[in-house]
Amino acid sequence: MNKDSNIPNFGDSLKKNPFSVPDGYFDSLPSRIQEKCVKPVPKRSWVKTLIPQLGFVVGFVVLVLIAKGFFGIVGQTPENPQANVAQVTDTTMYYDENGEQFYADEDIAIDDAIISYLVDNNISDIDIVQE
Amino acid sequence: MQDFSDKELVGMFRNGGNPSYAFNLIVRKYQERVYWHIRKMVMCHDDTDDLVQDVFVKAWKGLENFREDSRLFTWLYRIATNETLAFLKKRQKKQALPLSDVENYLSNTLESDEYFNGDAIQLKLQKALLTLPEKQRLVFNMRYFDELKYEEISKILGTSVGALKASYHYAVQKVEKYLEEN
Repeated sequence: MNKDSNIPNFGDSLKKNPFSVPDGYFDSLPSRIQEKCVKPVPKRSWVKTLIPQLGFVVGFVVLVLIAKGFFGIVGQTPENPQANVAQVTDTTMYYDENGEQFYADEDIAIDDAIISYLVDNNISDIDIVQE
Repeated sequence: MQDFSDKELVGMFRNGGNPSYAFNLIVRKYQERVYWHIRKMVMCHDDTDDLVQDVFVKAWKGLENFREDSRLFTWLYRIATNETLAFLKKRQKKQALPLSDVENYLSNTLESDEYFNGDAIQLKLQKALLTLPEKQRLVFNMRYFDELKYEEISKILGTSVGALKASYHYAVQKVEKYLEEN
């Protein structure tokens, strides 16, 4: 019996359960409930769902950046590739009188007018260098 | 049947490999308390039977996400309370009953219920309880019959302890008055 003074004393009989259930009700209830239950599919929160996808996206972006960095260094193209080609082409190889090979310190710009002048005056490139 | 704690049962449900078995143990442990909690509110055995099954099916679906910061029993009581109140509201709307007639309806249900075995004074107490608003009746049932602490009732109903004490006080006064007058 409850000693709590908040609980009114209507008499012991009033505390008795006046209701009843059919015979064997509580024996069969669990199996009836079980029939209605199917294995719950655990709901994944949007955060849990997003994390693997986010990981995939981040991984992909990192790979792209790495690839870009790698190919950027190896396959870097100059702003004006023709200038480079011209530079190489215009670097003239010379031979001194001893037959030793050497390169001019500075690139010599090819100019049709200069070439014509040199040819007309029978001035060789060796003469120019020696001058 | 071995007695498992709530924590063990929830652990078995989640990680034990056989959630059906674990849930069956949970049903067996709490079915009677849930049943009587609902029965005292809706009076009729058949309605209670339907509601108890609904409560446990909901529990089955929600147990995966059950946060163990509350007791399993408190959680089940809360589901049962919500289901019961929703049921009573639905029935009131369906039958377009004014509030005063709900009391008569439940009173008639009680008298015609073949599974009510109470004597005249118990019938009178039940009728007295039917004059209370639903929330007050819930508080009275949980405090008087189930002898739950106010703190537990507070967790179930989401009402402050002070408000519950006041509610119970008014309920007792009304019941005493009804018993005296009838």
